[in-house]
Amino acid sequence: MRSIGILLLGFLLLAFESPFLHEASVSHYAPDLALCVVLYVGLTTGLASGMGVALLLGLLKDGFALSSPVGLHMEIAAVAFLVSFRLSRRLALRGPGPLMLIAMFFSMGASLLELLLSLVFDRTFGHGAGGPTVILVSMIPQALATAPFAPLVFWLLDKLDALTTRKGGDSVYLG
Amino acid sequence: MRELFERHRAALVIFAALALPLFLLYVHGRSPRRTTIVEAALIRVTAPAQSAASRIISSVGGFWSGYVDVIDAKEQALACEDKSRILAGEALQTRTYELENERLRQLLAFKRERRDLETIAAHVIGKDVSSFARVVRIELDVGSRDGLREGMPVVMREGLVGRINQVSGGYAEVMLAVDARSSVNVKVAGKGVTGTLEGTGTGNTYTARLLYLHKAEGLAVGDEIVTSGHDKVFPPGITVGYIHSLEERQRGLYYELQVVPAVNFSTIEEVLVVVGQRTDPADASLDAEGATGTPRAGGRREGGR
Repeated sequence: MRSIGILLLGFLLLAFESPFLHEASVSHYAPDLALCVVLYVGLTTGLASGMGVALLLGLLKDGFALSSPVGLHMEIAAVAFLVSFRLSRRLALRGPGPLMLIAMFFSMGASLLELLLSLVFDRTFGHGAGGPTVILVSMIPQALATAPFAPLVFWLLDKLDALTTRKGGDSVYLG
Repeated sequence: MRELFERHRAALVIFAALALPLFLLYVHGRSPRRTTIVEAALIRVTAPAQSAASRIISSVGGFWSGYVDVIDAKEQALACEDKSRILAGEALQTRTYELENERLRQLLAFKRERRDLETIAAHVIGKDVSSFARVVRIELDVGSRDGLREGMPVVMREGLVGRINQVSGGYAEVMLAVDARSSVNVKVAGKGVTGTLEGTGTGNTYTARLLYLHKAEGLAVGDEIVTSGHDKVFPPGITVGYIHSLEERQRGLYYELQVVPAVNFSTIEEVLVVVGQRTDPADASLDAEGATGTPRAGGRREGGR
């Protein structure tokens, strides 16, 4: 139930993200909301179910971002989940500040991984409008755009958790 | 085998989770132009959702931009309203100046017509108004310091206003020609009928009556009544009023006709006080040439004696 809720919320975030940013005329540096969801899942969920949710979120993101080959965001989500899953046992996140910092690093890591995977697997990479330069140039702005949304996504997921698991709505990460 | 799987479950999950996307990536990256089953399924799931989200966001965005437009329009309307108020004020001021200019031109024209009269221009600074909104008395901004004395005629281009009733240092009070206490020697212009014009104006009317001795023939409504000059107070030839009705009534020895004044006492703003009459036409002519002054506070004598 919780996993379905998280998937549904991730799906809605992905569906609304693109038109919202387009309407707000800031579509160039879109925050990676799916990555924030994966980060949350990695910090709060078990390995098998969490990995399943992360893979499906990555697949959905591949569906929404049709310019990249299917599997690219799945792989990024899987790696991001694994890293955050490992971090969840060693890192004590408190408050929105550290959370934003972590989200920023994850976003930059995701951009580097996207660049690497695209170079290896995508035969058309660099032929069209996108390319290594675009990813490298937009890496930091995208990380800066993602960071402020992480507390918001975490807050939403905390509320969802409270609904689906009937636990208290207080967040471990937002203080 | 099962035990082995249980022991390495986590590693197997991780391996599968990393390998599956890589496989998909390999397949789709190799032939990106061909739409696969996975891509078709993804499009079927994501496209309607994105379309609906797009419509919702557009509606909200449209509503918001409409709201912003309304706010902008409101601000612009307020700015226009302020500007309009300022312009209306300026227009009113300009209209006031135009009217004043017109009145002063009229006074100047009168001065040119009547070069035989020595006058002081004055502003009306006060009006006593009856409960029927009729002016019963006016006050001028010139007085004895300017050479005014009681009884001096007060005129404007339209005709006789009245006479100075009381005078002090810088102010004078005028008794109107329609005041019940007022009496002026007059004649009907071009008809040879002479008589006395007495004010009958009460608080609610501007009227006067013409009293004369002999029953007159040939009078008509609208005939002009002018000062005769016989009383040595009012200079001759100044319009006083017009015959209002021909219902001649006998009052003792006199016959009586109703007269309406030539001047609208409600709108008087500037007047001329006749302080003397010139007898030498040459002097009168010279003075008249320089008589272009307008009334001002404290008054100004136009021309020399």
